[in-house]
Amino acid sequence: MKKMRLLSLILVFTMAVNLFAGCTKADEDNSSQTTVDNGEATTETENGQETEDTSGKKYDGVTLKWAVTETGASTGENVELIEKIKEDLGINIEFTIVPTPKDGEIDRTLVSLMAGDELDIVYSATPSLKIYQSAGVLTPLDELAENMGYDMKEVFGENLPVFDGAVYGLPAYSDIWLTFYNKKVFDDAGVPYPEAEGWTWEKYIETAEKLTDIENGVWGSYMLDYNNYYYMYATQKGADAYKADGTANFDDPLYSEALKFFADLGNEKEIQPTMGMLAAGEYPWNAFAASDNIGMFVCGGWVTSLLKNHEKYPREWKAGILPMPYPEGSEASTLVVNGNYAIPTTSANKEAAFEAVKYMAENQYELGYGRVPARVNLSDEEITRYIEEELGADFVDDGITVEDFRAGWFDAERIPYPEKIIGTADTSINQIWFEEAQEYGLGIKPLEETMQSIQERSNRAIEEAKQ
Amino acid sequence: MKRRQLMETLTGYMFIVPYILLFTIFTGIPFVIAMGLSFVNVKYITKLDNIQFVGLENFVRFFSDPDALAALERTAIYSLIYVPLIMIIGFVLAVILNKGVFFKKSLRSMVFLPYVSNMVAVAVVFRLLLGARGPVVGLLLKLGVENPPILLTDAKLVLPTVVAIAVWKSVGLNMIVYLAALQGVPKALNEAARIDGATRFQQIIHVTLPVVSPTTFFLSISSLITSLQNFTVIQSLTQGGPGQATTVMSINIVRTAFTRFDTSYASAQAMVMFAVVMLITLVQWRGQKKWVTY
Repeated sequence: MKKMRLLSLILVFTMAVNLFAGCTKADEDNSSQTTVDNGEATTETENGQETEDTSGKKYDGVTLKWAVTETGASTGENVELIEKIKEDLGINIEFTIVPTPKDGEIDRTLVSLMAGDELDIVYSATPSLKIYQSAGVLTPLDELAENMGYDMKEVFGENLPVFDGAVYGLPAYSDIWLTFYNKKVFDDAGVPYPEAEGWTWEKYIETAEKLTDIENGVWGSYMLDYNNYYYMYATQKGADAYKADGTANFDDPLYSEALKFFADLGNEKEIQPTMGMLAAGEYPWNAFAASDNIGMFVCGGWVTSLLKNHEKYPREWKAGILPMPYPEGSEASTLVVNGNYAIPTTSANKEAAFEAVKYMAENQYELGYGRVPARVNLSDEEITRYIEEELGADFVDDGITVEDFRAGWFDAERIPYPEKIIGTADTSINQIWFEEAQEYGLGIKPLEETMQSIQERSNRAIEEAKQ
Repeated sequence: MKRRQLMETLTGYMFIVPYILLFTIFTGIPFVIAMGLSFVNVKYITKLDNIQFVGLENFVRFFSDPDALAALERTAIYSLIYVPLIMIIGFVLAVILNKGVFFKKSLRSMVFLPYVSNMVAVAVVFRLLLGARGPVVGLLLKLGVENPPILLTDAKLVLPTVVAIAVWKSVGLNMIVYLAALQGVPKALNEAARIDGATRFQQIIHVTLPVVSPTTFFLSISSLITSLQNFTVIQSLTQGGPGQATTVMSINIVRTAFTRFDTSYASAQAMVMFAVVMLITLVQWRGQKKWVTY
């Protein structure tokens, strides 16, 4: 009996230990502790006396903390970047690891900043940067730039993330929308490859109609069912999602025109899968790269990473690129998502951080990882050299020329519009567009009722966001 | 004797202490926090200094929010279809597979298999089966049906379709529990009923059902709770669409908390759901005195 009691006690103890074995301190697993060295720009001589730094590196010896995910900390690009910063500026950058949030999880970097954790550099795409700015955890850069005599507008132009009249980050690279096309589909249909000049939506539709052969399963056009597709036509016509008083502007006829335009591509003109097919998930997001029966695909520049991955997406057809189409009668435009470096309010050395962020934004593209720089002040020679040596190197076999890349990604005359709506309650509004547009596209609601619903629900979301 | 009893009692408590501890940490405390959040104005990006007590404002907002009320209505429809369906099908399968069927062990395993399957994998399979180019639509076309419905994109049919898939996935558990309960039905009662001239159907209605009524009571409550834990099913199959056709309370709560970042309002919605479930459970608990036979 005693043995049974002892055995049961051991079992209970073992169970309890196993249950708690997986628990560790949050800060041991989730973030690395770094020390901040607020070293000033001085050096110590052998006899211990301080002298002025004469290396020309104003922030030599300063250590900054950059919030990155585990993956980000191990990528060659980021490691090379901080090595270059150390070499050229003398600034030490240490990674502060922040866990990658899964679907539905909170942005841990934002939580860290709101908790007051000291970070000097954060990276985010413009829409997410807006959330950081709304939370009040970002430093406006205008004053820092002015103190350093740095003209941000000259370097980055319209790519600067401006919220409430102030600049909150410096864009390092841009994801610029393109038209990708399958040359084999064109060859089979006997249609000549289109020209970048005057590549409007109307020409796109005309071309897609010639390519589409539904009986043989060929679509002339393909686009995804992301929410921004439903209003991109209005965006490119210069429509603003918000009125001057801050309420939603979706009662502007441009938006109903945009929604009808996109839905009709599949439902009426039948040049791409219908809204029903897209809603049913019949065509995955990578269908263009994974198949050989889609003529043209309008999407972000990230698609090039699929096309040059011949291992995962083996293809026997050659690809071509064009700029994003634009509405006839409007100025040439495209959609853009910029990746920005920003300085949190918790940074202990904002001047050094600005120096580092400026360097990163201006020079990261030169590391050779296929980034499209967000700079607008590169010379023609610099652009040509970069395209020849970096961007175009993987597409020589496809016959994509320097001029093709220049027209698609380096056209200074083309207006870059943000890919998605950015502003008050933008996340809710984008979700509203997705839901309502789907109902219109599936024939559940007529257009007028859909737009009215979008307008009313968006205004409600804006009101709730302001409370 | 007393010392021995004390040791036995302590051993018993030690076995359940880990569970109680973990339940308190991972369920109890978050529940209390959620309850507290529902009475303040926390949004994702509200600093602690700016948190204010708002009383019942979030609850008042819920009952004047057309989207939230529509989600509640869809949740009610979902549960009204799900609970009776899974109870009836689970019971019928248990009766059929209880005895008198060849390969009953294999059949029982096959019925239970979906319960242990991964929901995402199930969703992929059903999206292929029910898609525009799937076998279901193909069969309907061959049968001469013009414009057959695409069940997962038809605004009127999508919710019942999702319920049916959820029932298919979970009915195995109900079947197993009923099966165990049926083993406890005294044979003498059925024999007596048969001698008195009762048909098989009458035996089930007047003998079997009353005897397994405690199991029915338990399963009705657990099925109701399961019907409200439908986030994974819907997110995998339709993501709340098309439009908002399958946006039920669980989807709406997650969207409110993690898309619109309105944490307090999401907590209030969760509290409303909790209250509804408690009310129904209370009604069932009181009602069991009349229809549950112990």
